[in-house]
Amino acid sequence: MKSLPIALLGALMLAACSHPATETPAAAKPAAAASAPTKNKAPPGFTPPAEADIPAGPLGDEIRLGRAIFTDTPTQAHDYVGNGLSCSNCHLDAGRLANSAPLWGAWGMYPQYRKKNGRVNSFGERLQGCFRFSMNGKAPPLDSDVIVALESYAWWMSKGAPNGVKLAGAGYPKQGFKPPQPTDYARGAAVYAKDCALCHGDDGQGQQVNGRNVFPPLWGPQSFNWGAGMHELDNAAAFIKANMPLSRGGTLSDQDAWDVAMYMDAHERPQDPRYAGDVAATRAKYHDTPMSLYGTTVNGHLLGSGAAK
Amino acid sequence: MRKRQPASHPLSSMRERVPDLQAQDAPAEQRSWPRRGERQGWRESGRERACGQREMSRQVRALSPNPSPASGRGETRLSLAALLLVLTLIPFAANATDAAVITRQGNGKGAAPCMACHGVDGGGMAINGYPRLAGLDAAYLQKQLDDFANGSRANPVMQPNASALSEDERAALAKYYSALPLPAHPAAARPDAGGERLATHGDWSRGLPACTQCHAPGGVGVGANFPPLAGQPAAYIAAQLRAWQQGARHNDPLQLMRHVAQQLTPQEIDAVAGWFAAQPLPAKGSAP
Ligand code: HEC
Ligand code: HEC
Ligand code: HEC
Ligand code: HEC
Repeated sequence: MKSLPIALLGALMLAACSHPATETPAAAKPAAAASAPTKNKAPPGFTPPAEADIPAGPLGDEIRLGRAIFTDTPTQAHDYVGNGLSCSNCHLDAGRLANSAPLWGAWGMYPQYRKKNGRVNSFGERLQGCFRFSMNGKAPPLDSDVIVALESYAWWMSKGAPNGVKLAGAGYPKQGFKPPQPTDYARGAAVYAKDCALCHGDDGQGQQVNGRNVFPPLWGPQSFNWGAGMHELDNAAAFIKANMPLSRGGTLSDQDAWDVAMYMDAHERPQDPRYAGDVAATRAKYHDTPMSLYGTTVNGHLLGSGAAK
Repeated sequence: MRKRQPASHPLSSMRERVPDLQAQDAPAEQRSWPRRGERQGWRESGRERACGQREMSRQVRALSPNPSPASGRGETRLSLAALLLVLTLIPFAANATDAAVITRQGNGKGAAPCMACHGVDGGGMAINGYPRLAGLDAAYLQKQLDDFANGSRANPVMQPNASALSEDERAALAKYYSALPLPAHPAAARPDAGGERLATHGDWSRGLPACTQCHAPGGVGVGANFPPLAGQPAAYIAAQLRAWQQGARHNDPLQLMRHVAQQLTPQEIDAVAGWFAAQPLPAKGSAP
């Protein structure tokens, strides 16, 4: 693969929203129809129920199990997780926080047609994808305790939310969010050193206490893999702008958020599990978008070619 | 407009000096995932740490070269000779020894004996709100001493002490205290449930993460930048949160603690301080 002209990124951004992303719900018909009026009319907001309102009894137990899996995934869903991340590392406040792809923003939007696999996916199938890519693990069966508990938790959290309506705060806020200037690796490195390394470490490997992440890694063998939504620049930039540095979300400039997202996603991470024999073929098949640096050359290194197994 | 940290953040140079941080590079197979409640090395000892002045002065006497005020001259010479012998036998501990002397006697240039307030074992003094120093990260301790000296952490007690120490003495004291074993922690009163909620869940409706997201589960601390809160005196924790609210302490990287503290009510400060004060000390705060 030739090195990707970074300058094109900004120009091609809008097109990227409809490409077959791994974690990004493709702009399929239902989603497009729902988000179309957002230009004129503000989408409705939603406040999820309080955790203390989880009911008693067997259903409540399943909901609580779902919450436990979501916030401590390596322990609670050990067999299906290949890194040290938890779902709540990317979906903050146990999946409740607006603008960090909250569960209540997703539940009512499934079943959904996803271009990625060319068919209608249930919510459970969407969750399977998270395990395969974000967790660099394997998909739990749809009738497994893990999936049923996570579905129960998402269902409970979405009680009272309108069905099939895109809500304010759903997903990461990437609509219309573009880098003022083309992204730049060196500028991204400077932002990283100043605003991120304190927690995620100079080497991006996070910080661990007693073998567990307190600050999760952003790249390398213990991070999300090359198939995960966070490896795409628009997802990463929107997440970072809204949520990082932790507790200081919204303080980075748009440019800083894009530059540091590019810096983060220009590092090696575990291979895309759909690896098609070589990096170029894999890029052509799954990453043919300016939002993915997979298969492009940054600083003389072909990304994806040194991917950790 | 958000304030930027200077390009050469003081912590960045500090991080290089801290071997603990390099442990991040541990290969994957060394990472195991202890199940809940399996945290290694919680201190078992139930020995109550004495905080009272009387107990302390007894220990001070026990540690001083001349253990008994009533002892004769010959005895003094003997213990001094013993001390000299120890000093020559452990030449590599020269730095630590300097620091140890300062903790007992001050430095003769205005820095008071640290142990008078931070305890003989570096365990602090809960009733007076003096913090534990034993086992804290050396780079963190040194940064705090520097911050007292440069005024980014204002405190009428510690500023004169830190300013009277040379840079080398600050470094040696930080190293000395960080190497001390964690003292036994007295069982504390049952903390308030509201404090636990804030500590372990935060309140995201106000943009507040859980304290433990930065200070680690149980408040045991992470590396050089995130000090342990577990077992620190409640009065100390509360005083720091108020100092950030009032701007007396403004030495926090990325303004993280200022932002957190500004959102807390006086009741929340007391509740969360009480919860952390009651948490057990880990065997080694920051070692992964
Ligand atoms: C490394 C970060 C990361 C981790 C870890 C992660 N996700 Fe995600 N997740 C994403 C990204 C990125 C998206 C795409 C969001 C978008 O399109 O706005 C996403 C989307 C989702 C969606 C769909 C959201 C929507 O609005 O359609 C669900 C549901 C979801 N994740 C659940 C999970 C679960 C359950 C786990 C744990 C098993 C998990 N995620 C772990 C990054 C992550
Ligand atoms: C104060 C500490 C802190 C700082 C500074 C910080 N983060 Fe994070 N970051 C966290 C924590 C903690 C999480 C996990 C959140 C959770 O579990 O609630 C996280 C999660 C993330 C994630 C998703 C999880 C993963 O591992 O992929 C990304 C991406 C991320 N941070 C990027 C950044 C970037 C880029 C910066 C700098 C602009 C930054 N962070 C600054 C603490 C921090
Ligand atoms: C008269 C009592 C007193 C003496 C003597 C004293 N300290 Fe302190 N020390 C304090 C108090 C009170 C605080 C808390 C200050 C604050 O609220 O900011 C403190 C805080 C500290 C801290 C910050 C700890 C943290 O967790 O951030 C360090 C480091 C420290 N002292 C080191 C020393 C050293 C080294 C000496 C001896 C040279 C010394 N102190 C002597 C009372 C004392
Ligand atoms: C976003 C990260 C973050 C969060 C969340 C956070 N802290 Fe901190 N805290 C820090 C950092 C960084 C320092 C070290 C400041 C310095 O270098 O002087 C610190 C220091 C402290 C100290 C001083 C300790 C000492 O030894 O002097 C106290 C007390 C404290 N925090 C309490 C809390 C409490 C209580 C909460 C929850 C309400 C909390 N923190 C949440 C980052 C955080």
